[in-house]
Amino acid sequence: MQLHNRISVFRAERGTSRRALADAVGVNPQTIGYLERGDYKPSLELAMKIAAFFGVAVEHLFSFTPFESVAEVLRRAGDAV
Amino acid sequence: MTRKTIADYADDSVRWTGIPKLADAMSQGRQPRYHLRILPIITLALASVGMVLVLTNRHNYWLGYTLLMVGFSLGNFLPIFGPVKPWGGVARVDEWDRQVRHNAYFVTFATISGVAVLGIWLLCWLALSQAWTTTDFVRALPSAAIYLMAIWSGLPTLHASWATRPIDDEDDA
Repeated sequence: MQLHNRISVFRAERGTSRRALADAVGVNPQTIGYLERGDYKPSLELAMKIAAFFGVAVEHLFSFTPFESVAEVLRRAGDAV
Repeated sequence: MTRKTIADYADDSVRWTGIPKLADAMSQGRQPRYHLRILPIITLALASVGMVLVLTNRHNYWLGYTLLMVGFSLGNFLPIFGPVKPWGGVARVDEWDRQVRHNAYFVTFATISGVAVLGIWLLCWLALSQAWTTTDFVRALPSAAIYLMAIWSGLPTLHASWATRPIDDEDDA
């Protein structure tokens, strides 16, 4: 089963480099790259460390169903206003 | 302005090779690692062709043995620059590295086991069918051991290089 994530979205929003995130959670930068690309499923420990780094719950970062795109969320928010 | 001595020129020539810089990077676990997709195929192919020649063609034994040794020798450089980080090194090995290494060596051990079992039966069959002499045995058995070591040194890099896709440094934003 594929595990979707939006690490790159959070990283871009916070302006955090891949290396900075990797150093903070104790892995190599390439591992963050593989996670973002969906080539690798993290351990629970690593997933929780990344979630803690961004200050969000794990399920906000990882999901078995695809996340809504940012454009779609913005469009819905615009429609609601 | 001081003139350079012969020793200075010798030091410069060593630095020019890049080996001291590489040795320094290796001592800190920072040497570049690449997805080597073709080189392991070449080394394993050389070793395999060499092994076939050793076993099947008595007249070309030395050619086969040379090919086998070239494949084995080249294969020993693969773990240094390949994507599989060694046990006990100074480089940071995280959970992704451990998974890649686990998968690569699992495939390698399974392959070596299979080749070894088939090889024992093949050696028995060749010895009986071709009436091998003691000299033939003395040539074939060490070659078989070297062939297994060539698989050990080349296959993990081959597996890891094809099982994962490289990530460019430019991707790091």
